[in-house]
Amino acid sequence: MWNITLYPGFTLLRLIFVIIIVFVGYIIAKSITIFLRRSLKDNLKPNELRMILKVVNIIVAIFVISLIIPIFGVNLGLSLLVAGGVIGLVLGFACQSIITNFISGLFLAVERPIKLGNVVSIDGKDGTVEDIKIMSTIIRGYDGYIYRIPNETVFTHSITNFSTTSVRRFEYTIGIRYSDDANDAIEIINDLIKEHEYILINPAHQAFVDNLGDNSVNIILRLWAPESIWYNVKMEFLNKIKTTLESNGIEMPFPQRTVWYGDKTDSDKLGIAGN
Amino acid sequence: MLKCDFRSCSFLFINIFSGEIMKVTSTSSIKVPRGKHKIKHIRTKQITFGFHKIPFRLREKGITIDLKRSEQGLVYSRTMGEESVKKVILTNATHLVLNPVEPVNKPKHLTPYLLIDFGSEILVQPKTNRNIILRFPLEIGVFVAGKKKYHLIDIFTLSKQKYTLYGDVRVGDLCRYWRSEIYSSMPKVDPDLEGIIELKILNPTSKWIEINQAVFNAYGMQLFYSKELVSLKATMELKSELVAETEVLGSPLKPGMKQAIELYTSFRAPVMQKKYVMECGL
Repeated sequence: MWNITLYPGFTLLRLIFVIIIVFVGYIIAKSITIFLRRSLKDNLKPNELRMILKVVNIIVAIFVISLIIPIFGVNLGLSLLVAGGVIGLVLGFACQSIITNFISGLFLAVERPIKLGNVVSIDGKDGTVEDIKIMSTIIRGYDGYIYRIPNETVFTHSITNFSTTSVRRFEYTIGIRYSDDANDAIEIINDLIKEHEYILINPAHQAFVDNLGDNSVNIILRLWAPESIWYNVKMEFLNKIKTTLESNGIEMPFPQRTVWYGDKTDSDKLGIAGN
Repeated sequence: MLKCDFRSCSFLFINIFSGEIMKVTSTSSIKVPRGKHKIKHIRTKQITFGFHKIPFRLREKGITIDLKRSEQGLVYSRTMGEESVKKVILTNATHLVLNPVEPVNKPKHLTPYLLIDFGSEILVQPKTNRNIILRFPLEIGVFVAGKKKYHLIDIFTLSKQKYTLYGDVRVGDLCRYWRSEIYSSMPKVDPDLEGIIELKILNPTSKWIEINQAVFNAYGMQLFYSKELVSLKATMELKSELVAETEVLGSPLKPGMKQAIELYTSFRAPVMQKKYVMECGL
């Protein structure tokens, strides 16, 4: 029964094979479509998602057709294979960057290291993520400029995402004169921090003498503020520290150098006491 | 009334026999800094919550509020210290409403969570349910009211504002911070500055549990007010030594109290949870 010839060289069995291959191909295409739609719908725009699904369906269709054609007795032959190989090679070289960006875009959509609205630093570009497209990521810099970063760059470079926590730390180094009391300065700064509404209680701030510099005693301040307003706090608070310290008689010194004359005669001439 | 003095007491525990909060002085006392938010019992004239006819003028406790009619509609102005607000409101509203609102809006709305730091430790015996009284900061909302409709035009507060992180930097939640002593009965407070929380602590576990703080969600935080008091009732169910669940109940502390207008209603944002799960320690 299976050997019934429908037309010369094409039996009923072969027709059943063709139907099975088409059916399996359809199931595979449908499964991949459902999987991609579920995993990418939050990360991609609908038109981009449609385009990806179309490409995937075309690839599956080409694969299915390449399986079916030999069953009909058509020999694709070596020449087609060679031609296909050459065309593939040419297209591969020509579209290398497009394909790399496309694949990187897919991986970014699945991995999701950044989201819309995140404040990030990618490949030296700092700003807010405005759009994540299939080929590129759009960042609006702090200066208002728009940066289009190819997804390959996003995927292969380290990403600093500043929006993953609700708080952020910033730091100041404050130099005071050697003649000023560092403990007094720290106490004044601590009082200012206690009164500041946006500087967090927990995580606690740190204020300590970090090093004895050439011209000043350097106090390090590490402060935490809500992520959304930390930069405003940083800009405003340093001036407050400066003015408060100055009003308490603690000053930031200018660079200075004490010169000692080795020649006693010259020192005497200048009226400076030497060693 | 039992008032905890931060300088001498180390921790408190709830006595299941008497239901009282007991003060325990440890030999190695923990040094707790003196509370900055200590309430001032201001005996000046209070801000009256509720409806007021327009034109309206208030000059109390360093706040000046003016709401006048003009050709366009209403002109609202408020000054408080260095802060000054002026708005022209194109409306035919007839009343101004002063209401306590959820204390998470000032100086800027950054978070829906309020953290109350008890200042001292409370040890809760297994299988007990007990009430404690806490204070919380007040924010006052200014609304214009027409026919059954309110619109918020301003919020101000007399209380000190500070933020903190509940939990660690990776997963913590930003919270408005307030430090409150623990009371077993109603303390005297300035109703323009602070409100009262009656917190029911439930410990259904079989372990002694130590708590230092409670975090509340502003969504579903129903405040009630009377002439001399703003209040809310809440529960804190201890799930383990590290986890608890808090919820603000929608009932007044005393009969006759009026419900304040809610800014963070859960029906406006149905996905928002009314409860808060404290899973980063107690």
